[in-house]
Amino acid sequence: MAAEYLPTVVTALLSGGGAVFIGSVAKSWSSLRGGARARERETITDLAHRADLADGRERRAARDRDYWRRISGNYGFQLRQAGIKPDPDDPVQPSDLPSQTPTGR
Amino acid sequence: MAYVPRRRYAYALAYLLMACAGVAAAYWPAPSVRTATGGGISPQLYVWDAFLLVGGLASGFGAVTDRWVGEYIGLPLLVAVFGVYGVSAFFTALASESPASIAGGMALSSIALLFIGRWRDLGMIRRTASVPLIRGRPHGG
Repeated sequence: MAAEYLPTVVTALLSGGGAVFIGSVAKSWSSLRGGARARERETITDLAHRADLADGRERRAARDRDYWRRISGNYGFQLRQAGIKPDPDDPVQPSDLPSQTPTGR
Repeated sequence: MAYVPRRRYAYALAYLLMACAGVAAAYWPAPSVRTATGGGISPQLYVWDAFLLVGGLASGFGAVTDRWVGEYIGLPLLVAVFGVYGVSAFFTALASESPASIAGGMALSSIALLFIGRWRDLGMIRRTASVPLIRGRPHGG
Protein backbone atom coordinates (compact mmCIF):
# COMPACT_ATOMS: atom_id res chain seq x y z
CA MET A 1 0.00 0.00 0.00
CA ALA A 2 2.60 2.53 1.11
CA ALA A 3 5.03 1.29 -1.54
CA GLU A 4 2.79 2.70 -4.30
CA TYR A 5 3.09 6.25 -2.96
CA LEU A 6 6.69 6.13 -1.78
CA PRO A 7 8.37 7.04 -5.13
CA THR A 8 5.94 9.96 -5.49
CA VAL A 9 6.70 11.16 -1.97
CA VAL A 10 10.45 10.85 -2.56
CA THR A 11 10.19 12.70 -5.89
CA ALA A 12 8.07 15.42 -4.28
CA LEU A 13 10.57 15.89 -1.44
CA LEU A 14 13.56 16.03 -3.79
CA SER A 15 11.76 18.36 -6.23
CA GLY A 16 10.62 20.61 -3.39
CA GLY A 17 14.13 20.76 -1.97
CA GLY A 18 15.56 21.56 -5.39
CA ALA A 19 12.96 24.27 -6.02
CA VAL A 20 13.56 25.93 -2.64
CA PHE A 21 17.32 25.68 -3.28
CA ILE A 22 16.93 27.58 -6.59
CA GLY A 23 14.68 30.14 -4.89
CA SER A 24 17.23 30.58 -2.09
CA VAL A 25 20.06 31.10 -4.58
CA ALA A 26 17.99 33.75 -6.39
CA LYS A 27 17.04 35.54 -3.14
CA SER A 28 20.62 35.45 -1.87
CA TRP A 29 21.95 36.75 -5.17
CA SER A 30 19.40 39.54 -5.17
CA SER A 31 20.11 40.51 -1.53
CA LEU A 32 23.89 40.51 -1.95
CA ARG A 33 23.70 42.51 -5.18
CA GLY A 34 21.44 44.96 -3.35
CA GLY A 35 24.19 45.63 -0.81
CA ALA A 36 23.25 43.21 1.99
CA ARG A 37 25.97 42.37 4.48
CA ALA A 38 27.44 38.94 3.80
CA ARG A 39 28.59 38.10 7.31
CA GLU A 40 26.11 36.69 9.79
CA ARG A 41 28.02 37.93 12.85
CA GLU A 42 28.07 41.51 11.59
CA THR A 43 24.33 41.36 10.91
CA ILE A 44 23.42 40.01 14.35
CA THR A 45 25.77 42.45 16.10
CA ASP A 46 24.16 45.32 14.20
CA LEU A 47 20.72 44.02 15.18
CA ALA A 48 21.76 43.94 18.85
CA HIS A 49 23.18 47.46 18.51
CA ARG A 50 19.85 48.64 17.08
CA ALA A 51 18.07 47.13 20.12
CA ASP A 52 20.52 48.95 22.46
CA LEU A 53 19.84 52.24 20.66
CA ALA A 54 16.08 51.69 20.89
CA ASP A 55 16.40 51.02 24.65
CA GLY A 56 18.41 54.21 25.03
CA ARG A 57 15.81 56.25 23.13
CA GLU A 58 13.05 54.81 25.31
CA ARG A 59 14.93 55.63 28.53
CA ARG A 60 15.65 59.17 27.32
CA ALA A 61 12.01 59.73 26.35
CA ALA A 62 10.81 58.47 29.76
CA ARG A 63 13.32 60.73 31.55
CA ASP A 64 12.17 63.78 29.53
CA ARG A 65 8.52 62.91 30.10
CA ASP A 66 9.05 62.71 33.89
CA TYR A 67 10.97 66.00 33.84
CA TRP A 68 8.19 67.92 32.04
CA ARG A 69 5.54 66.33 34.27
CA ARG A 70 7.39 67.64 37.31
CA ILE A 71 7.82 71.11 35.75
CA SER A 72 4.15 71.37 34.79
CA GLY A 73 3.14 70.31 38.31
CA ASN A 74 5.31 73.04 39.75
CA TYR A 75 3.82 75.62 37.36
CA GLY A 76 0.29 74.60 38.39
CA PHE A 77 1.24 74.94 42.04
CA GLN A 78 2.77 78.37 41.42
CA LEU A 79 -0.37 79.55 39.57
CA ARG A 80 -2.64 78.45 42.40
CA GLN A 81 -0.34 80.11 44.94
CA ALA A 82 -0.62 83.36 42.92
CA GLY A 83 -4.43 83.07 42.95
CA ILE A 84 -4.75 82.04 39.28
CA LYS A 85 -6.89 79.04 38.32
CA PRO A 86 -5.11 76.87 35.70
CA ASP A 87 -6.95 76.31 32.43
CA PRO A 88 -7.94 73.55 31.99
CA ASP A 89 -8.51 73.08 35.67
CA ASP A 90 -8.92 69.31 35.54
CA PRO A 91 -7.19 68.09 32.36
CA VAL A 92 -7.95 64.64 30.86
CA GLN A 93 -5.05 62.64 29.48
CA PRO A 94 -5.33 61.54 25.80
CA SER A 95 -5.77 57.85 26.59
CA ASP A 96 -8.85 58.66 28.73
CA LEU A 97 -10.57 60.71 26.03
CA PRO A 98 -13.87 59.18 24.81
CA SER A 99 -12.67 59.06 21.17
CA GLN A 100 -9.88 56.63 22.07
CA THR A 101 -10.34 52.91 21.36
CA PRO A 102 -10.33 50.50 24.32
CA THR A 103 -6.89 49.22 23.29
CA GLY A 104 -5.51 52.72 23.65
CA ARG A 105 -4.34 52.92 20.03
CA MET B 1 26.03 43.57 23.33
CA ALA B 2 25.19 40.06 22.11
CA TYR B 3 28.11 37.67 21.66
CA VAL B 4 28.13 36.02 18.26
CA PRO B 5 30.91 33.51 17.50
CA ARG B 6 33.03 34.36 14.47
CA ARG B 7 33.18 30.75 13.30
CA ARG B 8 30.91 27.87 14.23
CA TYR B 9 33.18 24.83 14.23
CA ALA B 10 30.58 22.34 15.50
CA TYR B 11 28.24 23.31 12.66
CA ALA B 12 31.12 23.20 10.18
CA LEU B 13 32.17 19.72 11.30
CA ALA B 14 28.58 18.47 11.16
CA TYR B 15 28.10 19.80 7.64
CA LEU B 16 31.46 18.40 6.53
CA LEU B 17 30.41 14.98 7.82
CA MET B 18 27.19 15.29 5.82
CA ALA B 19 29.18 16.08 2.67
CA CYS B 20 31.39 13.05 3.35
CA ALA B 21 28.25 10.99 3.88
CA GLY B 22 27.12 12.07 0.41
CA VAL B 23 30.32 10.71 -1.11
CA ALA B 24 30.11 7.50 0.94
CA ALA B 25 26.44 6.99 0.04
CA ALA B 26 27.34 7.12 -3.66
CA TYR B 27 29.44 3.98 -3.14
CA TRP B 28 27.43 2.33 -0.39
CA PRO B 29 23.83 3.61 -0.52
CA ALA B 30 21.71 3.40 2.60
CA PRO B 31 19.45 0.35 2.17
CA SER B 32 16.27 2.18 3.18
CA VAL B 33 16.91 5.03 0.74
CA ARG B 34 17.82 2.60 -2.05
CA THR B 35 14.53 0.80 -1.48
CA ALA B 36 12.61 4.07 -1.42
CA THR B 37 14.16 5.26 -4.68
CA GLY B 38 13.28 2.17 -6.64
CA GLY B 39 15.37 -0.63 -5.25
CA GLY B 40 18.41 -0.41 -7.53
CA ILE B 41 20.81 2.27 -8.68
CA SER B 42 18.38 4.96 -9.79
CA PRO B 43 18.78 8.64 -10.80
CA GLN B 44 16.84 9.62 -7.67
CA LEU B 45 19.45 7.91 -5.53
CA TYR B 46 22.22 9.97 -7.14
CA VAL B 47 20.16 13.14 -6.81
CA TRP B 48 19.81 12.34 -3.10
CA ASP B 49 23.60 11.79 -2.86
CA ALA B 50 24.29 15.03 -4.74
CA PHE B 51 21.94 16.99 -2.46
CA LEU B 52 23.76 15.60 0.59
CA LEU B 53 27.16 16.48 -0.85
CA VAL B 54 26.28 19.96 -2.20
CA GLY B 55 24.12 20.87 0.79
CA GLY B 56 26.85 19.79 3.23
CA LEU B 57 29.59 21.66 1.36
CA ALA B 58 27.59 24.88 0.94
CA SER B 59 26.44 24.90 4.56
CA GLY B 60 29.94 24.02 5.81
CA PHE B 61 31.39 26.89 3.78
CA GLY B 62 28.87 29.24 5.39
CA ALA B 63 29.62 28.01 8.91
CA VAL B 64 33.41 28.30 8.50
CA THR B 65 33.43 31.70 6.79
CA ASP B 66 30.52 33.22 8.80
CA ARG B 67 28.51 33.85 5.63
CA TRP B 68 24.77 33.28 5.93
CA VAL B 69 24.46 32.58 2.20
CA GLY B 70 26.15 29.16 2.53
CA GLU B 71 23.66 27.68 4.95
CA TYR B 72 20.77 29.58 3.39
CA ILE B 73 21.24 27.84 0.03
CA GLY B 74 22.52 24.52 1.42
CA LEU B 75 19.86 23.77 4.03
CA PRO B 76 16.92 23.24 1.60
CA LEU B 77 18.92 20.41 0.02
CA LEU B 78 19.67 18.88 3.42
CA VAL B 79 16.02 19.19 4.45
CA ALA B 80 15.06 17.19 1.35
CA VAL B 81 17.78 14.64 2.08
CA PHE B 82 16.72 14.04 5.68
CA GLY B 83 13.05 14.17 4.71
CA VAL B 84 13.61 11.35 2.21
CA TYR B 85 15.75 9.48 4.75
CA GLY B 86 13.04 9.78 7.41
CA VAL B 87 10.24 8.75 5.07
CA SER B 88 12.34 5.79 3.91
CA ALA B 89 12.87 4.67 7.48
CA PHE B 90 9.14 4.90 8.19
CA PHE B 91 8.47 2.93 5.01
CA THR B 92 10.95 0.27 6.08
CA ALA B 93 9.09 -0.03 9.39
CA LEU B 94 5.78 -0.40 7.55
CA ALA B 95 7.02 -2.78 4.86
CA SER B 96 8.80 -5.11 7.23
CA GLU B 97 5.98 -4.84 9.79
CA SER B 98 8.65 -4.20 12.37
CA PRO B 99 8.63 -1.09 14.53
CA ALA B 100 12.42 -1.11 14.81
CA SER B 101 12.85 1.61 12.16
CA ILE B 102 10.21 3.94 13.61
CA ALA B 103 12.72 5.48 16.02
CA GLY B 104 15.12 6.09 13.14
CA GLY B 105 12.36 7.64 11.06
CA MET B 106 11.42 9.99 13.88
CA ALA B 107 15.05 10.98 14.55
CA LEU B 108 15.80 11.64 10.88
CA SER B 109 12.57 13.58 10.34
CA SER B 110 13.34 15.70 13.40
CA ILE B 111 16.70 16.67 11.86
CA ALA B 112 14.84 17.82 8.72
CA LEU B 113 12.51 19.93 10.89
CA LEU B 114 15.44 21.43 12.81
CA PHE B 115 17.02 22.43 9.51
CA ILE B 116 13.75 24.07 8.43
CA GLY B 117 13.85 26.12 11.63
CA ARG B 118 17.48 27.11 11.07
CA TRP B 119 16.68 28.05 7.45
CA ARG B 120 13.85 30.30 8.58
CA ASP B 121 16.18 31.99 11.09
CA LEU B 122 18.65 32.58 8.29
CA GLY B 123 15.86 34.12 6.23
CA MET B 124 15.42 36.66 9.03
CA ILE B 125 19.16 37.32 9.01
CA ARG B 126 19.10 37.78 5.22
CA ARG B 127 16.34 40.38 5.52
CA THR B 128 18.13 42.13 8.39
CA ALA B 129 21.40 42.12 6.44
CA SER B 130 19.66 44.11 3.72
CA VAL B 131 18.92 46.99 6.11
CA PRO B 132 21.64 49.68 5.84
CA LEU B 133 24.25 49.77 8.60
CA ILE B 134 23.84 52.19 11.48
CA ARG B 135 26.39 54.97 11.13
CA GLY B 136 28.88 55.42 13.95
CA ARG B 137 28.58 51.92 15.33
CA PRO B 138 30.85 51.40 18.34
CA HIS B 139 31.96 47.95 17.13
CA GLY B 140 33.96 46.85 14.12
CA GLY B 141 31.70 44.08 12.87
